[in-house]
Amino acid sequence: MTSLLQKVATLSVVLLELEQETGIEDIGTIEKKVLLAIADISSLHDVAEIKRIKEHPLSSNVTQPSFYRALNNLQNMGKIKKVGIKRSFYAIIE
Amino acid sequence: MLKEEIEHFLLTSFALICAWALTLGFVTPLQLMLLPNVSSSIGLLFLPHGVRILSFYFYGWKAVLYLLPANYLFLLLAIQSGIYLHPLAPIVSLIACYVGYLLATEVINGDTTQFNIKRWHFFLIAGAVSSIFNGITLSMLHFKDNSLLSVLGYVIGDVAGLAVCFFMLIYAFRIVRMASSIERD
Repeated sequence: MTSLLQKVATLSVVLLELEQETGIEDIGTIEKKVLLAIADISSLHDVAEIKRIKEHPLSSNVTQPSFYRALNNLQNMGKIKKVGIKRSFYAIIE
Repeated sequence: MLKEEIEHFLLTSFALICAWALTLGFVTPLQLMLLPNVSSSIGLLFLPHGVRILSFYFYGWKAVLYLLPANYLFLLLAIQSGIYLHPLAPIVSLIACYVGYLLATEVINGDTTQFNIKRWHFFLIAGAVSSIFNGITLSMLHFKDNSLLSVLGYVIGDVAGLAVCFFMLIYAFRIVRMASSIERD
């Protein structure tokens, strides 16, 4: 049974790696909200300031720790990057 | 114990029947329409290969036994629909695939870090090696030779089928996750 469980776990890792490598990973709900907020702000301004992202209707109800975790996750996924001299600006990676 | 064996048999048979049904009902007619010069014995997107590799991974040599009845069922259906397949094709193909899979597993030994490859690369490599063995034996059965072109046809079809199987699994898992999150909400 343990062996079967280990194999299922390996298969899940395989699928996750494949998703990440092909860029079709299923990002979490909060990450999705923050990403959409950044995309929306970036369409008006060149980059998205963290203050604006926090206030954006899509991400305004996200708690502070979840918000920063989502930002980190999105950076690790290569979806967004910090830009400019100030650290509080983000842009979508095309 | 017996119950577990029956469950594995039913699960692999169900997966294989779905893969065969998609291949015979959709992929093969499309291939015949778009690429009429390619022999119908060679599927250029052969989904059952994905099921074979995953079954070998989960159940080892027993997968050969689990997959055999469904393979014979589809051999009959393929012959009925006018596609010529050798009567020994299912058994020879399964054994060749398993030998190829075993070889790849022995070489990599499950330790993908040693070769600095990702685990899904291992599945693709194992699938390709297994497909080369499969291609050589099936070419000998169907075309009485193992010309590079027919072996290549089998390898392309099998590896493409394996890749598509993985993508289908990704989306199946995603739908399950979505359904369970809706249930929770």
